[in-house]
Amino acid sequence: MEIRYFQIIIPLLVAIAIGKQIRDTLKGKAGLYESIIISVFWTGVAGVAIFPDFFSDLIAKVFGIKNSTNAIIFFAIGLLFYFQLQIYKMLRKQDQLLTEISRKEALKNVEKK
Amino acid sequence: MDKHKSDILVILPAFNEAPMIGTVLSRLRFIGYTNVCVVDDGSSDMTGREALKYGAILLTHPINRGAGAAIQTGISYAKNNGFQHAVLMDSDGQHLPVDIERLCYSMQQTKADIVIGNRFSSRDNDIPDHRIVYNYIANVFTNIFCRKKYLDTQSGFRLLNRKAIEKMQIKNRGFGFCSEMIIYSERAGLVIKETPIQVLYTKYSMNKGQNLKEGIRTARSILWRVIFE
Repeated sequence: MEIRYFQIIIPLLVAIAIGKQIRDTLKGKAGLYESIIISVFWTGVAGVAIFPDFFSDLIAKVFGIKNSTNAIIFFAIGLLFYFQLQIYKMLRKQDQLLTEISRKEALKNVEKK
Repeated sequence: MDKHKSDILVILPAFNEAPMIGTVLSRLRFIGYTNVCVVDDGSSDMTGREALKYGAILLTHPINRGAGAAIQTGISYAKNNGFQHAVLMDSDGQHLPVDIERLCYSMQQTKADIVIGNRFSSRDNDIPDHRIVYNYIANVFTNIFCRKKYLDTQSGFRLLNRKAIEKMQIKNRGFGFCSEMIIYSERAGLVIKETPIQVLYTKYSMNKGQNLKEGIRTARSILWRVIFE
């Protein structure tokens, strides 16, 4: 089996993320169930990275995508997901800023009878 | 307890509560709570004017930002003005001001930093079935992220001590603040306890509060914070 760069880099990043989660759990900063959910999520990401062909075939079977086009489709879906995530992040930030301004305004103009 | 009352700031987040806010403020004043802060969350009715008429301290959000944002504004006011305790209550009249004593007593006994009024401990509380179901789902979801198990994670009736006031940083601007406060207070090392309270569900209060859409928004917001922040 030919090993590609992402098959090494992504599992390494996942290992760091899970290690951090375990450290937070041991320090009592994160709950056990929460850590399990997060670890399962990241393990899934690592799984897809290590066995891309297996998951490609699986998704191809489920969605009826031909193998030859898998890479492009996955790339496009990943890119769309990334863009959506970035937009959502920006929206959240703007929303938080708006709330901060409202709160500051309210605290500046306290009214009493 | 009278000496205690001057140390307490009662925080009432209010959005279009003009029909009820006066009654709630009168009830509080009647039993001796004079430090009451109404956070008018961008109401389009006379909520702010009514609050001032009944002697409340009024903080006004220029636009509607949600219950969580209003609560954090009230907590910041308590923090800036040196209040030792803050009581969070709904403005729709469903919470009884006499229960503040219960929360204070529980805080004294358990040395907790936050005491949550638990609506489900008393069978006298005539809670509508759909609210029970909704709260059950919200409890299960919130407790996933908590070390302890809480019976009423969505109760808006809470007492915070100075330590909790100082540490509180609510980011969720909607009703999701109820869950967020518990999850992140635990992480900040604050002790949380629950104590039974009474609630009055009226036709008026039933039109307020949380619904399924808000619940989904809360779940999404918590998951986002846990995974990405």
